[in-house]
Amino acid sequence: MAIVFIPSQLQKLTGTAQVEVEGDTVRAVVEQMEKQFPGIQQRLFEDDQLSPTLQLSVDHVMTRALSTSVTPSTEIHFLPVIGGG
Amino acid sequence: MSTEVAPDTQTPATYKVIGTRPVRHDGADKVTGKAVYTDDLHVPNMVFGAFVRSPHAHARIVSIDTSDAEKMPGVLATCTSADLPDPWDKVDNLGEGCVNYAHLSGNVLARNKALYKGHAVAAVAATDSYLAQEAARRIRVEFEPLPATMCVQDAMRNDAPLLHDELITHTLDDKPARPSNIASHIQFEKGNVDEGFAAADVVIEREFKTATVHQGYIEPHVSVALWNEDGRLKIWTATQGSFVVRQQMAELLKMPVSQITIVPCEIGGGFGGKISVYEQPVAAVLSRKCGRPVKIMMQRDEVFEATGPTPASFMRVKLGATKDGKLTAGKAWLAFDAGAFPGGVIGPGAMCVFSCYDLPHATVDGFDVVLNKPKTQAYRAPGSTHVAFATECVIDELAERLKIDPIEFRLNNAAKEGTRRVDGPVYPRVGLVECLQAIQESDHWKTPLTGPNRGRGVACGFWFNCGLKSSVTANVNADGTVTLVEGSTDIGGTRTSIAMQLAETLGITAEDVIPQVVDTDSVGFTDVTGGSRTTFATGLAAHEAALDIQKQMVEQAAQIWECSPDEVTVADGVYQGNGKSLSFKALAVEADKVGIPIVGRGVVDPQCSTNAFAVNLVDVEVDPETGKVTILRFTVCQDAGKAIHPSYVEGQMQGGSAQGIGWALNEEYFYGDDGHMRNASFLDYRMPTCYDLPMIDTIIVEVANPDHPYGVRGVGEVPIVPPPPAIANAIYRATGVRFFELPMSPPTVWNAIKGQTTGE
Amino acid sequence: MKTHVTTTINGATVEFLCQPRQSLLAVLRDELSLTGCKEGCNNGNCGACTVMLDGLPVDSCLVLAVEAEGAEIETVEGIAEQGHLHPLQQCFLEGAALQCGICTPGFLVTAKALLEKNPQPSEQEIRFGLAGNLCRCTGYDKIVRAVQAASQASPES
Repeated sequence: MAIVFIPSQLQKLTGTAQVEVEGDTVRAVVEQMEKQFPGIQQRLFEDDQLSPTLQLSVDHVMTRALSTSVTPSTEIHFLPVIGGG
Repeated sequence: MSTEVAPDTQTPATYKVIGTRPVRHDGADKVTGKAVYTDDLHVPNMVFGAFVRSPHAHARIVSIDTSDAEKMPGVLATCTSADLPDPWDKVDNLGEGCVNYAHLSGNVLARNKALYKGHAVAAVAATDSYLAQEAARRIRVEFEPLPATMCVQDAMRNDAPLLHDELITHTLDDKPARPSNIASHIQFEKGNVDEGFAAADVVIEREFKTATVHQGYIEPHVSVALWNEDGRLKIWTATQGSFVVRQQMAELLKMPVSQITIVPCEIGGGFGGKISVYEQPVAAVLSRKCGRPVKIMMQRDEVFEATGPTPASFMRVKLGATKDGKLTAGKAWLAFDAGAFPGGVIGPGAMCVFSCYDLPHATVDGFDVVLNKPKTQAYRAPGSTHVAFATECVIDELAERLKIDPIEFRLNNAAKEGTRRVDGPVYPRVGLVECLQAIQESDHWKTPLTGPNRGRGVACGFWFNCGLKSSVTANVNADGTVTLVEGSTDIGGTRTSIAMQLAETLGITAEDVIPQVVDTDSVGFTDVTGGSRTTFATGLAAHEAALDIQKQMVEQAAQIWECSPDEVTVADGVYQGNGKSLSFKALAVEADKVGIPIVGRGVVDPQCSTNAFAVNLVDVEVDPETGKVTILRFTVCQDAGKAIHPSYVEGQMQGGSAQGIGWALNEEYFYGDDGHMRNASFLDYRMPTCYDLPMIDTIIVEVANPDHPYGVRGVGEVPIVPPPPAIANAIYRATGVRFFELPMSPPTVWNAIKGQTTGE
Repeated sequence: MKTHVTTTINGATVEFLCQPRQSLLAVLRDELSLTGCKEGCNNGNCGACTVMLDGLPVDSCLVLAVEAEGAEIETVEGIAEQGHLHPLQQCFLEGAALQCGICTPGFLVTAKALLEKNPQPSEQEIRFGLAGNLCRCTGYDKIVRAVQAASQASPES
C-alpha cells in the first residue's frame, strides 16, 4: 500500500490528486493502478521500465528503481528527470 | 573576505582532516605547467581534424561534395553523417538527465537538415591543423535555406516553421494530434490556486526574459581518438564524465563498451557543458578511416556556436500574499529554449521555481521548445537561475509593496524541514532559514549603504543534490600511504576533498593519500563530475573503501598479534589488540611484510533526498551616464552541510557567484536577424574579468546532510542561482527601475534610466 | 618554406623551425613541448597563453613565432627555480587560487611580471594588472589574495 500523488496531467484518468494503492514495490503499485485506471501505466512506463524522462520520489528520496519497496505510508511522486551541470 | 562558519550542533567538531585546508595533490603540476590537459597531448603519428559547419540557422542539406578536399596532399579522410551508423531512436537515462541517441547523432553531424548556424555537417582529417582547416573550406555543401525561428514565443506559434516534422509534444497528458516545436510540457499543481489568489491581499504578476548564455570554460572542447588496428577505440578527452562519454560513444558507433576506453585528461572547466559528446565520435570515425590518431580541438567561435549553452527563456510568474506577508499562491508559466533538439532543462526549472518557499497553492507549466539555436545543456543548476530571477524579483516587489523587510519576508515563508515542494516531495532537514539568518547577522547587512545611485539587493536560490554511482579502489602501500583510484574528473579540487574523506575515516593525513583519476578501464563505473555530487558521492565511496581497508587491517593485525579480529580495536587510526598497539602506517609496514595486499573497495549509488540553498546580498552602484553597474560588495551564504575543504567550498561559491554576476550584467548571445551569433568571442561575449569584481565574501553554514557520514551537501551549483535577482533588486533600489530581462547590460540600464527620467 | 629562429626561452638558447603563419603559442606548445601556456581562444582575449616577451607579458597567440628571433621569452615552466616553487606559485597553492587550473599558468606569468614592476600593488592595481587573464572557475577572489600574499612574501618586497 502506498500513497501515490497523481501528476496533474494524469488526473483526468484518475479523477483524483492522490490515491492509495496496494503493492509492496513501486512496480507492483503501478501495476495495481493500471487495473484501477487503465492506460495510466503506458503514460509512466516505456518498454516495461520507468520512462527515461521520469524519476520517482519515494518517501522524498529520488530514485529510478521500480523495485523500491513501499510501506503503507510511503509517498510516491513521479517527477521529471533532472541533470546537473 | 570573511568566512564565518556557523556552528552546527549535529556533527562532531573533532575531525582531524575534514575542515582543514591541505594543498591539493595535483597542485605542483598545475602551477608549473606540467598538468596534462587534452590539447597538451601529442600521440605518435597524430593528425588533426576540422569541422565544416552550416552557415545557415536552418537549412536543408542538399548535397555534400568532399572530393576537392580529398584530392589535397596531406588530407587523409573526410566524414559526414553517412559515416555514423543509423542511430537508435532510443531515449536513455544517462544518470544526469536523459538523451535521445538519434538526436545526439544528428547533433554531432547533421542529417538532412542543419538546425542552427554552426551545426556540424562534415569533417576532415589532415596532417596539420592549418591544412585541415583549408581542406574543410574546400568541402562543398549545398544548402536550401529555410526560415529560422529564434525565440520561444515565435517557435510556439501554430504557424511556426517546424524543426522536426514529426515532433509531438511529450506530456503525461493526452498527446496533441499535430507536431509542433513544443518538445515537452510539464505541469505541477498543489492545492487550488484560485482559492489561494482569492485569499491574497496583494498579487503581483510579471513577465521575464533571459538570453542564451554559455558556460564559458576557458578550455575549448578537445579530444584525441585512436581507432586501433585491433578494433579498440581509445579517446583522450576533456570531459566531466568519462563513463558517460563511453556510453554515448558505444550507442552512437554501435560498439560494445568493452572496446572503448575513455581517458579523462585534466579538464579546463565544464560547468555542465562537457558531458554530451561533440567532437569525440567524429574524431573516432576519422581515425578509423585514416588509421591514425586524430586530434580535434574546437576554436572558440565553434564552442560558442556549436556546443551546449544554457537556454534563453520567457517566464511569467505570479505570486500572492496576505498583508502580513504570508504567501498564499503562486503561478508560473515557463518556456525554455531546448535548442535544435528536444531535451532542455525545463524539468528542473519547473521544479525549482517556487522551491525556496512554503507555498500552499501553486501551478507550474513548463515547456521545452525547439528552435534554431545550438542544443542547450546544463549550466550549473540548470533552469534554476532562470526561475530564481523571476520569482525573487516578484518576491522583492511583494515585500516592498507590503513594507516588509526583504529578508524577513523570506524568513516568514522559507522552505524548511517538512515543507512540501510544489512538485511534491517534502524537504528533509535543510538550511535556508539558517542562511537567511546568517546574512542578517553578517557584517555586510549591518553596514549601511550610503551614497547616490547605490542600492542593496537580496535573493535566494535552490538546487538539488544528486547521488548517482561512484566506484573507488584504494591500495595500501608498503609505507603506509594509500593510493586512491577514482573515476571522478577533478575540475575544482575534488581529488583532494575525496582523499580527505578517506584519510579522515582511516585516521591518516590527507598527504598520505595519493588520489589518482583514471580511465574507464581502470576503475568501476562512476557518474559525472557535476550535479553537485562529486565530493558527496565519490567521497562516500572513498569512505566505504576506507571502512573496507580498516576491516582488512584488523584481520592483518589479528594475524600478526595472534589474536582474534574481535579483539582488535581501532580508534583515531591506532589499532590495538592483545596488549599491542600500532598506528595505521606502522601496521601497514608490518602487514606488507607478512600478509596479502590490502585493497579497499567502495561502490555507492546513494539515494538522495537533500538539497542546497544559497542567499546573496549585493550592493551596487549604477552610473547614470553610462548604465554601468559596479558591484561594490557581494556576500554569498550557502548551506554546505559540511565543508570538507573549506577553501574549495568557498571557491565554488565565489566562482558560481562570478558566473551569476556575468549572467546578470553582460553575458548574452547577441543574434542578428539571420540567426547568426554576432559575438562569438571572449571580446564581445563579455564575461567578468578580475577588474569587474570585488572580493566575494562567503559564509558557509553547516546544517549536516543526514545522507552522508560527514554531513556533506553538494555545493558546486547553487551559487550561480541567486546573483541575477539579487543584482536586479539592488539596481532597483539604486535607480528606481525594475528590470525583467537579462542581461542588465549598460545600454539596457541606461535606456531604462533615461526613459524613467524623461517619462518615456 | 620554414624559417629558422634562434631565441632564448627561460634562460636557455633555443632554435626552432616554424611556418611564417605559426603563432608563438603554437610553436611553444607543438614544436618545443612547452605546453604550460594554453590555447583558450586564439585571438588574444583570454590570456591563457600569456608568456613574457622581452620583459612584457603578451598573449602568445597574437605573436608570430618569427618575432621570437633574438628575443627573451619566459614561460610558466621557468618560474620555479631548480625544483623550488616561486613564492607566487606557493601562494597560489596555499590560497587555493586555482580550480581547474587551465588559466593558472597565464595568471602566474602576468602576476610575476606585475610584482616585479610593482612589488607592493594595491588590490585595484592587482585587479587591473590581471584584467587580461580570464578565469571562469574562481571568481578571482583567491587569485587576488594569492598575489597579495606573494607580495608580502617575495624577496622583491
